Amino acid sequence: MNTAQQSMTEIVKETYQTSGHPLLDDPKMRVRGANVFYAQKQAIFDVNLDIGKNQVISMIGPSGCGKSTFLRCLNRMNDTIDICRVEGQLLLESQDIYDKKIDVVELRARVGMVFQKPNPFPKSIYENVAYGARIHGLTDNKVQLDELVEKSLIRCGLWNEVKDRLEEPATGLSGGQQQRLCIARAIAVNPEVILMDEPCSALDPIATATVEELIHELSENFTICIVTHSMQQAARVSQRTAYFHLGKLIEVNDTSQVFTNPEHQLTEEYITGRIG
Amino acid sequence: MNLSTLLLITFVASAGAYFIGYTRSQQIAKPIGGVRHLATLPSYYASMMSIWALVPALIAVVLWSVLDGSIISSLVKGALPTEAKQMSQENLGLLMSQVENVAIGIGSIETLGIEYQPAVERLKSLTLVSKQSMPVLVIVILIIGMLLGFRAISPHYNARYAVEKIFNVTLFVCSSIAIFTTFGIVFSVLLESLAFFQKVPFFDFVLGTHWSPQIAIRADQAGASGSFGVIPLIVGTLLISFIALLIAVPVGLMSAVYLSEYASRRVRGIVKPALEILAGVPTVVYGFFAALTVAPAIRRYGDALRDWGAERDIEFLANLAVSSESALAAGLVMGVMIIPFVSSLSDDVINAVPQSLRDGSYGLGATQSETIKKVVFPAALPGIVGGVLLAASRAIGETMIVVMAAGLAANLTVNPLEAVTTVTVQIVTLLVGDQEFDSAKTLAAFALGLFLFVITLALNVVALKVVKKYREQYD
Repeated sequence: MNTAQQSMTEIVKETYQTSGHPLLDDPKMRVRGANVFYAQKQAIFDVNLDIGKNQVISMIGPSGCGKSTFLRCLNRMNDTIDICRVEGQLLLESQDIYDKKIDVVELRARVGMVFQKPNPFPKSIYENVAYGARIHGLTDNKVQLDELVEKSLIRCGLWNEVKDRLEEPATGLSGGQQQRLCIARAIAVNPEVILMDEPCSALDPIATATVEELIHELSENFTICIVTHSMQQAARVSQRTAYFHLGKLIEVNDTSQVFTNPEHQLTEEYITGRIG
Repeated sequence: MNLSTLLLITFVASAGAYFIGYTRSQQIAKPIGGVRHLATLPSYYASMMSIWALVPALIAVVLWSVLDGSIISSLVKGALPTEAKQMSQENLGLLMSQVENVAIGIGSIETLGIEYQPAVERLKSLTLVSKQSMPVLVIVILIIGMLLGFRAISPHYNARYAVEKIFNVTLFVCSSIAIFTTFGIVFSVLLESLAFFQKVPFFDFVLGTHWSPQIAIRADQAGASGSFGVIPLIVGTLLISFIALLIAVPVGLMSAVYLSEYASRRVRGIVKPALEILAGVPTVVYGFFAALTVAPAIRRYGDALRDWGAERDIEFLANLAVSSESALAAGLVMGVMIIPFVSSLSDDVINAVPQSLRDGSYGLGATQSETIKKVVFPAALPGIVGGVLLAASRAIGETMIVVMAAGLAANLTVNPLEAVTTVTVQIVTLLVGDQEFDSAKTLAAFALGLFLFVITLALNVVALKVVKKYREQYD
């Protein structure tokens, strides 16, 4: 461990107060005092953050800093991990999502998720998009379902590429197409928030550009939280940026400010490439 | 020196050759600046030398053991008196074994006849020579091999190629043993079946609906019809296998789903080994369980149901007849027997479905059961089909349970409450006891075996096709 890293660890321990503007008026999601544990090990420390309506917020930070863990708390995907425990208050429009009475199924329909690696189901392209609509009973007949599938694919810019082969297996698509299909699958359920966990890390630059453009368009109607390793991507797609370090939320600010004039020393060191 | 001592010496020597080769290669490496200046690693030189020592010597041992008997006996035949040389093959063989017996001290030369004395003496001396010269020859070959290997060690010679080639050949030989065995079995069964079809027309066998493999010994014998229609056996086999799969597939699949998706680690740790114990129960134990517990119980319930039906004038129940040996009993127990096959294999393939697919489904708000039904299960289907077909082959080939619980009567029926018989059971009954190998009755067993082989082969081909068709779906 070199001295720079050592000094940083100390800084985190001594002064832990999120810099910038983590809180907003009238946010879509409100997180207060969130702590996450994997068995005995604490992964997230006392995070306070608001996520704005119809905004893109990106979460950046070095590997293992807890940004993916934090993201997965927002639709309770961490429930599938036995040893994971979440404390604190997480609200989706004033509703506590960790309330015992809340239906996880309904929550995940409102807070959708797109994963790091494209994971289309081993079904046809059509069935992939129709999956969510079927399990939530969103449509009453085949005509409505067809419309929904078409609309979702059009919004993801995939329609022209796949309209002639909707019945072919989705696994035959290219990586970028598969990821856009996964996004189409997520928006077909018409969620309010979409969580994206490094959605472009398995894609080539051209496919990445397409997906980024798509994120930009979707932000008109959806609230989007994106975890990314690429600072350029964060700068391109998001309005706000949150920097995580060793499980702590160090700084939240408008993206332009984070990348031009970071308030916290750790943020600056990260974006200038001294940590990472 | 006997054979096992000789083999032991050979192996010890080749181990020694390894050591020598290793030391030697390091020795020649030293003046040229170390091991990295050799063409390959010392262990390859050592392996090469040990192979040079071992393989030729082993080949010599094998060849000698295989050939020496026949060479000696052909030499001994030359010493037989002239009239013996004109004997028929069978009598000559008989005479030779008498000569061998006398040579090793069983019986005396007087009873055999004094004119055979030279042959006996010849045999004795040749055997002695063979016994003494073989170890000498093998050890000479061993030493020559070692010397050749030793000489080949040089910094410019890459021993790795030779060693890898030898291992390649060894691996190939091992993998072809199974194939050659299969071919051998098929070939022998095929030949005997052809002999059978010369006695019984092919279509009488394949399309016949009556199975009664009694062949008349005397022309006037009663009840010796000898008809070989395979249909009742096939129907019986399929009926029992169908019942077995009806039990095993749902139970096995659901237990696999429970174990891989719902069970806690603790429960899984107990239930899975317990299920696998079920696979370790010998089939004969299942057989008497079926015959002594299940079949009588089914009969008892059937009788009770009939009496109940008779009291209330329900005609279809009143006529219920349950045989004490029934396809149902055999099928039920066989089903239980193959549950572990289905559940264990399905459990493995369900576990192999990537977590990312489950996450994708959960992320869209699917419940656990929806995820299993609509994503995990379809993705695992090819593997599951493979497991089920394997279980089906197992059910079709199963004999012991059917012998005990379903009887030997070749009834052509699909009523699971009657006694039926299967192909494998008939093979057993045809070949039990002393049989003459040229009667249609005995040869029928081979035809049945061929038939069974074709059926299970077809099942396997279908299984492979299915698996191939759906494979790579989630890669």
